[in-house]
Amino acid sequence: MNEDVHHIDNLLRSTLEHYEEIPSPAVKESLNAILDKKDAEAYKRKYEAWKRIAILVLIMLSGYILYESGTENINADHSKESSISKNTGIPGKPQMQDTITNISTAAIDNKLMNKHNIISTSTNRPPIKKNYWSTNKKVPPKLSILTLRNKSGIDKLSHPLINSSYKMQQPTFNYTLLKNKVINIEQLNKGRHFKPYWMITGWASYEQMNYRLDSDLPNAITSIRHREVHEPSFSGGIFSTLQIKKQWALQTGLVLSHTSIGISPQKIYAFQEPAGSVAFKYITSSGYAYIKPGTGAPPAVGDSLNTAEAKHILESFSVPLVVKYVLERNKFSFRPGIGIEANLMTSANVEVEIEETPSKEVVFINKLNGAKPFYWSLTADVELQYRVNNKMFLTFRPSFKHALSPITEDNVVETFPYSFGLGMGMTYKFR
Amino acid sequence: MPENTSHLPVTEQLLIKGCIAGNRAFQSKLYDLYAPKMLGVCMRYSRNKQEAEEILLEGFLRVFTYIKKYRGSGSFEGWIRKIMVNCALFKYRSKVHLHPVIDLKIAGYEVAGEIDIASNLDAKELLILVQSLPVGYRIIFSLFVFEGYKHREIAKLLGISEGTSKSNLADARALLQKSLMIKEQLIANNGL
Repeated sequence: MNEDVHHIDNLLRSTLEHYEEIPSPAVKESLNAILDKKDAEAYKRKYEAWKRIAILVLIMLSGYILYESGTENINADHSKESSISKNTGIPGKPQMQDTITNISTAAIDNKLMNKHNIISTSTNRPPIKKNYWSTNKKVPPKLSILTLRNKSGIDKLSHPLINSSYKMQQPTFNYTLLKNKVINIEQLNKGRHFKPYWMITGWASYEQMNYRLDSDLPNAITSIRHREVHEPSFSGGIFSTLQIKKQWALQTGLVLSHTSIGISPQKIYAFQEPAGSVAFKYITSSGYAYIKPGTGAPPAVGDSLNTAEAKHILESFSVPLVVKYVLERNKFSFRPGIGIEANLMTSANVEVEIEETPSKEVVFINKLNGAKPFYWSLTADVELQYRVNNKMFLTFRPSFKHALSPITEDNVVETFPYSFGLGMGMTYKFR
Repeated sequence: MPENTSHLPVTEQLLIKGCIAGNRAFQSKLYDLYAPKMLGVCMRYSRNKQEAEEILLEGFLRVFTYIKKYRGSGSFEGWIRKIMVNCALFKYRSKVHLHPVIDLKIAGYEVAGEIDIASNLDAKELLILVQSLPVGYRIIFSLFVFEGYKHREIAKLLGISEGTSKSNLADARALLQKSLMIKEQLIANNGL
């Protein structure tokens, strides 16, 4: 029995151990379809993490900006209140000594004083009752008191507070006037000593893309132009601007662009690949790919295949370096700029449907041959900014961009994309 | 790239590298290279070609997914083969109804005398005999005879006792012998 047992084991092992059978083509088709789907899902997931990080950064940035703006307003209100009610001991009642000290330390120059009819009238200072104004502070000896000159040329002690020094029951005075003068003086001082500062802009833009095609084969240019239609595209990013002089700034940042191109149905032909096999060549303005439909017999050189409409997506990261000239008027600033951009093509893919297969096979091309991953472009834009408050600006940004080097190599055409964009964003000023 | 693939032929190394990079051309070449052999493996665990192709498809998907985990410690073909066997076991695990230990003599199997019909049956016919075995017998027989597993390993793999494994293998052999005898009879009758 044992011999028979081993005999049957050996018989089957020796006969079936190296048994081979060709699987039906449907297995490979199914495998390709599943792998295509997985590739597509992986492609979608590829930048998911970056998108999340970008959203998180934007949210945090927005939060920080809102927080900063809020803090600034509170501080401004608080300082205003404190300058009025500080040391009075009576809420809402101004203290003469503080007001006068603020004015005296503002370094009022004679020119400004003359312009605003403000003169020093220390001699007109009325006697101040120490016990009333302050119990532990004295008016500085070189203290100046502001008065307004009346039309008759006679200096008149116009400060209501000073007048009220004799009747403090009504301590309200025209504080706004004094405050405005102090601010004007501060602005004047700032203008004399410009300090560089940074601004950050988050923006998004609608773009209309197109391209310039160069080729020794005019027919190739015509046929590509005929079948490719640019669809609305988008870009967005973050700009960081360094204001180096009052009217000059340098800008850089990170820009993400998404370009969509629709491709009309076409007939494609089989060529021999460099690897030796024969496949249908699908040509676009950004490169080409070899397609091997899962169904049907393998093609021979010269065979043709009809494809349905296809979708071509290009995505890139760009880093610009732009010089800007700044013109400011009231709440508006006008910032034309010109510079260069380094562009990194992160993906160039095509989703095409094959018409001649029974089940309308969809082929997903996620890598185009002949597409250059890096190219340079010229960029020009005009930022129109509206000042919302001292730190926040609303920014409109018409722009133009043109590739300086082609995005293709070894393709039938050399492609130089260009685009017009209209963007909008928010700018935050760090100062 | 796997830790040590220097012992593999250059073509295999390139294929593995290409597949790890997700290159579809390399994946296609890998499939073309190994699919026929692996279908032969899958056929021994399945009832028919359709089921075998289902296992093959699942197996290659796993190969492409986990190829980066191939350490290069054994042959690449052996690694793929192991994945195919695991896929087959996974497919049939829920369907396997393994018989408890039985005494062959009590069961009344007549063990044949000398069997010498190897020259009369081709591989396809023998494969059909294996495929005609009940699923539990077929899996244990294939694991023992073709993959070289011991009863202890089979028992651990399938979650059964060693005794059940031995018993089922004996049953499978008996059924195969019986089928072979019937085949022999038919051939002899046709010869007359």
